[in-house]
Amino acid sequence: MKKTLPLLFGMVFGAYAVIEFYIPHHLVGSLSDELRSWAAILAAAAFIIGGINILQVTWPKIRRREPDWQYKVVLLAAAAVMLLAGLPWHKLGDTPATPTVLIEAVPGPAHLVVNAPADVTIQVGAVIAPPRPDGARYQADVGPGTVEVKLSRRVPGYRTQLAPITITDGQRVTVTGDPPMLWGREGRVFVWIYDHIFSPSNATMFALLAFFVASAAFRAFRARNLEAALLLGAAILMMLGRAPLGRAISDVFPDLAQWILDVPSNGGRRAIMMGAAIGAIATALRIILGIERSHLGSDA
Amino acid sequence: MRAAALLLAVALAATVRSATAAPAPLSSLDVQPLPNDSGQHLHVTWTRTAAPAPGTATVILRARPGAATPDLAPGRKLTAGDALGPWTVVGVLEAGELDLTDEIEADTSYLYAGAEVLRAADGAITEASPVTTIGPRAAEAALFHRQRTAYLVIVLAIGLLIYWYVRAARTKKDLYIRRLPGVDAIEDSIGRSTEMGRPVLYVTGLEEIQNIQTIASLLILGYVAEKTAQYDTDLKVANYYPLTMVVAEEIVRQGYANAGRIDAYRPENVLFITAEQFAFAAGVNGIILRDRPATNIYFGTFYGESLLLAETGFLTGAVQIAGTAELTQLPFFITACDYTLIGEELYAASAYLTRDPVLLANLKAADAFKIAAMIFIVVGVALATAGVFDLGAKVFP
Amino acid sequence: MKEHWSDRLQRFDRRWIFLVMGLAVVVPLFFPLGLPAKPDRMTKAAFNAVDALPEGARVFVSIDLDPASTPEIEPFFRAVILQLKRKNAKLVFATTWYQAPPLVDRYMRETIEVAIAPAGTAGYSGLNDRPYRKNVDYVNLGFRDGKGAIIQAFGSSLRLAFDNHADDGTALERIPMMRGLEKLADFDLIVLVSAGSPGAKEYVQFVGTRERLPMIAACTAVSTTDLAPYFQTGQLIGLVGGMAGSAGYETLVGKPGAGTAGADVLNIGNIVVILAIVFGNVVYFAGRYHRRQRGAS
Repeated sequence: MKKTLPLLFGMVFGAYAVIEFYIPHHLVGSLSDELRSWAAILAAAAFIIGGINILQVTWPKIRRREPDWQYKVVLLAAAAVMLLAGLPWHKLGDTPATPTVLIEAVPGPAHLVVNAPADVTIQVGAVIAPPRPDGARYQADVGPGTVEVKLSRRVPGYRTQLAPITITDGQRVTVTGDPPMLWGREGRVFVWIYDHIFSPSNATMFALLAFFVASAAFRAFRARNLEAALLLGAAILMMLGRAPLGRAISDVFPDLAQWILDVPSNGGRRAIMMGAAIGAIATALRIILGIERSHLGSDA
Repeated sequence: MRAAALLLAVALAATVRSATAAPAPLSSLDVQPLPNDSGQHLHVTWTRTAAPAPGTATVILRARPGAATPDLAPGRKLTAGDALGPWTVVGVLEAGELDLTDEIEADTSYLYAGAEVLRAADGAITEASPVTTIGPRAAEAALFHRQRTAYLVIVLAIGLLIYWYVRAARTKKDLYIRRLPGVDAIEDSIGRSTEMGRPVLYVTGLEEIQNIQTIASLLILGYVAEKTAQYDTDLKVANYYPLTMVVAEEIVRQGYANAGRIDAYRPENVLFITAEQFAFAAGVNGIILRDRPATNIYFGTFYGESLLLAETGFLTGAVQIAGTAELTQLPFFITACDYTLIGEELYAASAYLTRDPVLLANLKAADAFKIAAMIFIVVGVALATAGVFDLGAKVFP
Repeated sequence: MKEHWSDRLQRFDRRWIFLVMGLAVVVPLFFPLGLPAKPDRMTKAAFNAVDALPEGARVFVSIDLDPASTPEIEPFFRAVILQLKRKNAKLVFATTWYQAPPLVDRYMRETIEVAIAPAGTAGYSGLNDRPYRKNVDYVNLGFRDGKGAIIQAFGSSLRLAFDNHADDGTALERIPMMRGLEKLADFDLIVLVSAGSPGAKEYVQFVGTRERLPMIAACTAVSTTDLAPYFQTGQLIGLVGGMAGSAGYETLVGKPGAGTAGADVLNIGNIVVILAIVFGNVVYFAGRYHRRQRGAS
C-alpha cells in the first residue's frame, strides 16, 4: 500500500496531465485549474515546512555552539526581520491618516496653505511645488474651484495622501499632512532592505562569476586534443566578436562570431534540445506508466 | 427664379440629410462556434455593404434567448461590458473590424445583435443603423483538439516503441547501452569520500519538483543514498524548494532502509537552503567550504550559479559530477567538473544504474524515436531544398 | 631535479588571476576607453521593430529580471523605454519574477513617471520624451507567479490572469487605455526583458509561436546562444544579448548610458580571459614539451 498508492497517484495524475492537453472541453479546463490551485497551495504550505526545517537544522547548531554558529544567528535574525518587515502592519488598527483641512473666511482671493515636513513633495493639481528645504509651509493664491492636493514622500515606502478641496474667493484653506510609513512589500523597511542589502548581495554573487570564468579559463581551456582546440578557438572568436573591441580590431570578428552562433552553435544546440526533449518524454512516460519505480525504493 | 430657389433649397436639404444619414446596417451577421474550443467562445462575423464613414463604430451585443431587439437610442455612451436591458455590450469596435470572438458561459445559448453607430466626440451615439439580430447560438465544446493530432501521434509513437522494446526486453537478457563515465564514477567517488572521511554533497537543482530534470535527479538520489549508506559515508542533500526537500528526505530515508542502515539516516542532512538563486549558491558554497565534501554531485536544472558551485568545489579538491539539460550551463560544468552528463544522459542515468531490462528497453525506445526524428529532418531538408515549405505548417498548424 | 617553471605555474595561485580581473573591471570605469559600441544584426532588428511602430502603439513589456542581471539588461530597458516614449506608445507592464516588483516600482519612478530625456539633456539630440501618467499612459499590472502556465494565461486573457486589476488595485475596465487589450495578441509589440526562466523562452514556447506574436527580447549574454535559434526562425524579431547588445541599443537610440560605460569593462574583461586562456596553454604546452624532453633523455 505504501508504494502502491504513490504509484497509483503518479499514474492517474500523470496520465491526466498528458490527456488534458488534447481535450479542450471546459470541464477538463476547470478541473485542471482546480488541480493547479491545489498544487499552488501545497507549494505554499511546503514553504512553511521549509522554514521549520531551517529552524530544526539551525537551532541545535547554535545551542551546541558548533563552528560558525554566529552565522546561523545572522541567518535566523535576517529571516525574522524580513518576515516582520514584509507583513502589512499598517493595515492593522485605525484607518490611515488623511490630511486635515481647515477652511477660514479671509477676505481676498482664494488662498491655499499646505503644511508638510520638508521631505514631502506637495502637488497642487498638476503643479508641483518647489522644494522647501527648511520645511516652510507652502502657500499660494489659487483659482476658485475644486483642486486636489497630493502629498508624497520622495523615497518609496510611504502612503500618498490626497486631499480634494473646493475653494472659493474669500477663503483660506489650510491643508496639513504627513504621509505615513507603509509596511509590507511596498513598505519603507522592506524596500530599504531590498535596495541596500538584497540587491547588492545578489549582484555581488553574480559578479563573482567574472573571476571564476577567468580562473576556469586558465585551468580548463587547454588544447589537449582537436576537440579541446576547437572549443578554445571558438571561445576566443566569440569573445572577440561579441565585445565592441573585436569590431574595433576588424569587422571579420563580429561576422565570424555571428556565423558560429548561427550555424554550428545553433545546429548543435537544436540537436541537444531535441534529444533532451525526447529523453524527457520517455522519462515522463515511464514514470506515468509505472515502469520507473526507483523513487519508491529499490524493492518497489 | 422661384423654381431655381426651390431647386436650390431641395438640393441643400438633401445634402444636409445625407450628411447626418444613419449608417447602413450590418449584413451577413453570423455567429459560429470555434473549432477545437473549450465550449466558452463564439465567433461573430459580419460584412458591410459599404466602407464605414469616419467616426463609425460597430456595436455587438449579446443576450439570453427571448430578449427583444435592443434599442440604440442617441445620447448613450456604450463600452464593452455595459448593460442595455437584457443585452450586454460585447464589443464596440472602431477600426472597421469584421469579426470578434466572444467569451461566454458554457452550455448556454445566446442571441447576438449588431449595429453600426455614429458617435459624437464625447462617444455618445448620434445615429444608429437598424439592428441586425441572429440566434440563439451556443458554443460547442470539442472533445479532441484536432490541431494537436501530430503531437499525440508523436507521444503515441514513443509509447508504442516503449511497449515494443519492453516486450522484447523480457526475452532478451543483454541489452547494450554505451558507457556513461559520469554515472560509473558515482560509486568510485563515494568510495573515495569514505576513504577520506569526508561527506558526499548532492544538489538537486534549482527547479520545482514537477520539473523533469528534478525528477531525474531524485531518481538518481535514491541510488546515491543507498550507496552512501552501504559505504557508511555522510550524504548531504541541498534543495532549492521545500517540496523537493520533502521528497528528497523520503527518497534518502528509503535508500538507507534498502541498504539496511536506517539507523544511520539523519534527516537534518537533507536541507532546504533557500529559494533565491544566489543565496542558494552562497549557502551551498558555504557547505562546500566548511564541510569539504570529497564528492560533489550536481544533477538537475541549474542557471547562472552553476560555475559558482563548480568552481568552489574544484578549489576544495572534490571530485565533481554534474548532469543537466540546461544547454547554457553545460559549458561551465564541462569546464569545471570531472564528469558531465549532457542532456538526455541525465534521463538515462537511472536506467543505467539499475540495469533493469525494462528501463533499458525504455532508453532503446527513445533512441529509436531519435532515429525517426533524424529521418524526418533529412526528409524535411530535402523537401525544403525542393522548395516545399508548407508541409510542416499543415502537420503542425 | 630542479622544478620546471611550467610545473611551478601549474600550481599558480588563482588569486593573482582574480586580482588582474578585479583591476580589469575597476580601471576602465575610471579611465574609459570610449570605444564605439556598434550594434549587431539582432540588436538592429530589435531597434527597427520598435522604430516601425506607429505613434501611440500599444506595447506589452514583461520585466523578468533580478538585481544580479540589471547591469546587463537595465541599459536596454532604459533605452527601449525612451524609444517607446518618443512614440507616445501606451505601455503595459507585468512581471513573472517574484524578485522583480521592487525593481519594477523603481523603474516606474525613474523612467516612466519622469522624462528620461527632457529638453536640454546634455549629449542627446533625439526627440524628447515626457513624464507618463499612471493608468493614463501606462499601466503596471504587477507580478503573477506560475512560470509557463501564467504566461499561457497572459496569452488567453490578461484580465483573468490579473483578476481584472492593475497592481495598484484599479479595475482594468476603469482604465481607458486598457480598452481592447484583452490578451497578448491585442498588442502591437511585446518587449521581453528577460534574465532567465521564466522569460523569453517561455513566451516563445507557450504563446509567441502559437499566436504569431511580434516579440523582441533582451537577455543576459549567456542566454543569447539559447535564444538565437528563435531569432533565426523569426519567432523573435529582435534579440539584444547581454551588455554588449544593450550598449549597441543605446547607440542606436542615441543616449549612451550604463551599457556603453560597461562596454569598456567588457572589452578589458574579455582580454583578460583571452590572456588567461593563452597563458594556460603556454604553461600546458611548455610542460608537455619539457616532459617529453625529460622522457627522451
